[in-house]
Amino acid sequence: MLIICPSCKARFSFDDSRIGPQGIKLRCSKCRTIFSISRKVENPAPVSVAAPPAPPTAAAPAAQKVKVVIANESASFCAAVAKILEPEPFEVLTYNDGKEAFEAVQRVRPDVILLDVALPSMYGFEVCERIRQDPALAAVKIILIAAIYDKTRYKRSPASLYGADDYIEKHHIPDSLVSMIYRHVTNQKPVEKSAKEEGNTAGEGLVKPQYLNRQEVDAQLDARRQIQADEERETMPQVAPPAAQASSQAHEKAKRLARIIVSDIMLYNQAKVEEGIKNGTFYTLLEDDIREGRALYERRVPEEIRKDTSFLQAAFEDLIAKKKQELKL
Amino acid sequence: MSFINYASREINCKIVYYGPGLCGKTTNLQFVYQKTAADAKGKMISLATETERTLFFDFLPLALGEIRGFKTRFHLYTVPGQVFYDASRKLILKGVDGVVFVADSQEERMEANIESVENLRINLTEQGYDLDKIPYVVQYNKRDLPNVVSVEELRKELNPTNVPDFEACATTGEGVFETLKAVAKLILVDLKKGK
Repeated sequence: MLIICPSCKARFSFDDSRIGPQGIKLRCSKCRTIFSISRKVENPAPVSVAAPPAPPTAAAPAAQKVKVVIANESASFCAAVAKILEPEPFEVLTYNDGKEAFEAVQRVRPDVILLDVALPSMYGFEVCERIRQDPALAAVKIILIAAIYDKTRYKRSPASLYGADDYIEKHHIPDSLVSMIYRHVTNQKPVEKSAKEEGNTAGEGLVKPQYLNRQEVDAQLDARRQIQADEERETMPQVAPPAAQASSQAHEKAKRLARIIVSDIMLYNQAKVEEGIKNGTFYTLLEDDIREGRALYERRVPEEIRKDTSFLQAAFEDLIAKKKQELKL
Repeated sequence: MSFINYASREINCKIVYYGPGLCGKTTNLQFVYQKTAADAKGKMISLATETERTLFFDFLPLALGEIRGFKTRFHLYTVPGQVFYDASRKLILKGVDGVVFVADSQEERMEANIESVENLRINLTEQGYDLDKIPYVVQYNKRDLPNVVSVEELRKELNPTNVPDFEACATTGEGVFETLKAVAKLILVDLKKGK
């Protein structure tokens, strides 16, 4: 029978006698997505005989193992990612400190380093820059783990990767990291982009799926859960219950309002803002606007948030600090 | 709510340009005003303070064709964009027939855009309107600037319901009339449905 990977649309020829009554879990050897099939979705379409050979993504490059360094402060996160990579022919080394990770890269010259930005002793982007400055390490592919972001805030793709080759958000690690590593070590273009184009089947090959036994599937799912838990812990540090989540959202909204009030004051009074910052008279010069801003903030932000926080004041201080930097004061 | 003047046989419709501070609402109106024939427009009233804020409204009656023997006259208003002039914004939204949301495409104004769309929805609801039901279009302004967010991202954040949207550069007039025509058309369709 013919099956199609739900993620990258790669097509597999598959012996349907292997499908048990509970169905079977498979992993696409092209994009590494795990998916299950059962007899209900059986497609009797015959396999094309004029199939091209398996694409290079399906095979591990060369006989020697791909060396992957994982650098993240959390040992449990490193272990979870290592578990995700376990079925692959990779040699995985984990480090919880930036300096140690950099020294390891110099020593072992891995094919790929998965690098977190917030590392103790040396930040990830510093590690990245140091690697890029060393010609002996030019072949090392660097994948940054996207920094913790606030899900309630607007975000966009990073403009600079500090010389890294790619970046990945934590929640994409279980599904996309393996294919990303293969892509970088074999210098391939992203499979997702070309393979997802509807109707374009010319580039698709017939590749053999990999069979996972129950333990392997459980181990993978467990690793996914760990990564997800890790991400949730970081993106929502103090809270778990719904009431606390609502409170966190209210805090974020209050912070956003504070930032907008301050940015509006600055936009409409640029000359005054600069003058006030230069002469240390910011709060006096902009007294009227600040009063209006405070009044709005008090109207819109509930007292229970205001009494324990000073988001508006922090936003003003932030503006002053930034402007001072801009004006080189 | 459009106002019908039987004596002059005119239907008067109110279009409000909404959006964050300095996003180009007034610039939109000024361009329309400049390009409209003198006999087709009324006087433009701008109430600005010494700090050059658009504190109250700009007003531009603009004749555009006829419906069943009645001339349609569009009154274009802007609201003060600064976040703390919410009372004025609510006042100006009274009796609105159509809304143009003018977004500032610059990355650093994304939060202000998002806040302003939320504020628009809340203020309309308070007046008994539903943003999803009234004639409504979105304009992504300042497309000529270097630090703009892509239209796809703007659309995702600011126009999840996929209303008609337009890229614009109000200072040169690009996209200004397209936006106005789109909202005017939606209003006319609405008026015809109501009869």
